[in-house]
Amino acid sequence: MAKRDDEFWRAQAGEYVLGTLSEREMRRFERLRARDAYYCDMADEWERKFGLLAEALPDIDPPPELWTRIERQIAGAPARPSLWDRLGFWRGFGLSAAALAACLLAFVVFDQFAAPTGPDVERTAVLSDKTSPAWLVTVDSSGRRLTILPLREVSIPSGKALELWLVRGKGAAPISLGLVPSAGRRALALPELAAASWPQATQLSITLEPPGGWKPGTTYGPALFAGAIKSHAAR
Amino acid sequence: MKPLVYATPEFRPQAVEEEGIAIGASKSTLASLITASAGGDRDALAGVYRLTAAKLFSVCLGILGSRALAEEALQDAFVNVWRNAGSFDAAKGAPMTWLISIARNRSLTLRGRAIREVPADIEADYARLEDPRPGPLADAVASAEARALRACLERLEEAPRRAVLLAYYRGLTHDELAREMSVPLGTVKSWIRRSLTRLKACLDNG
Repeated sequence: MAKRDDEFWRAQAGEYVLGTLSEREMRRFERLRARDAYYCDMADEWERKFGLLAEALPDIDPPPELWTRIERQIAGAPARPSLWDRLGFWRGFGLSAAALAACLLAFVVFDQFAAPTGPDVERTAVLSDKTSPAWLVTVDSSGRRLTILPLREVSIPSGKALELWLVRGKGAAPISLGLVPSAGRRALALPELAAASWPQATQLSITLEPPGGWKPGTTYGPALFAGAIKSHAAR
Repeated sequence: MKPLVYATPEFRPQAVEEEGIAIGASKSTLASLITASAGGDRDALAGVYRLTAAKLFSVCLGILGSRALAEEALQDAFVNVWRNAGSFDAAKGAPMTWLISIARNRSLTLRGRAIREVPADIEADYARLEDPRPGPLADAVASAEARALRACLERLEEAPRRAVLLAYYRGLTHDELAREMSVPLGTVKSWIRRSLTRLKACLDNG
């Protein structure tokens, strides 16, 4: 997606922070903000500037029982936050500063109620091309639910699709996990065969395929991204 | 200016500083509490709440107008703080900015789900920018920045400035601003855009 001029996006970021955008425009900017430090840094700057307006507001006490309600609601939450939310987790992959921008994590903050709460993450993989990390994949402890998050802009030739594969050892055919969905933090429900194959899986890869994905009897498209699978103890 | 329907505001004067909060509790205290919350320390989250809930409630109330909605937004915001404390990086930003952005974001999300009645009187809120009472979290840098922000806001014309303030304090959308200020939608949009550009230039040079 081409970046329009700075001034337009700076104003758009300002409007996002002010709250003048419609719900649809807000969500659209949030998705951009989550994927690219360019947009996020602009929003952060406006939050900083306009935040002073909020800091000057008078304190108004909420009702005393509100804290009790909060305590009750978080009581079910894990004692330690999910892997998604811990900075150390991200740094452990050696991701670049750009990918680690506060924005990427702001996506987690602001989409908390739209997305399902973090699963007990069991497996993760960072898929890279020759240049840099591009995708973060996590698989829950059941092996049936996978999420895939882009770490940077990825350009795809038009009229093509990206397909995600579970790669096993030599001699075993890769298993398709489905097409990579094209927006936001995306979740895939995996077929039973895939779920059962995680123990033999060594890496994940993404190939470039025709729309609708690879068809049996044809050759696989070129592998654009790949990464080793890491296992983590579920908390 | 014709106001929107007035809610009965339950504003009261600035609360006296709470007993038990150390005077001069600083930004770094708040940052440490947030980081400790990330490790699962519920008492640390309680500390964040004690220090900031009243300010954040004020933010939510300003946008949502009703106590019931504001309570819901504040509760959701703190649950978000708990779940995402691990993503707060003290090296990257001020804790209060982070908390305010969470509270506002949650309020703006809830805004769409209810018919709000918010007072369109923002003069009192804006006036505080000139003379913000130092709370436990105030510091000299913030005061200087607040004065700079006010100076830049004052350089805008009155109507565009009012649009910006109504947007920030009350979370009004373009459509709501146009209705509230009795001007065409296009006028409001260009007021906001131009004001943002001018504020950016002014604050950068300030």
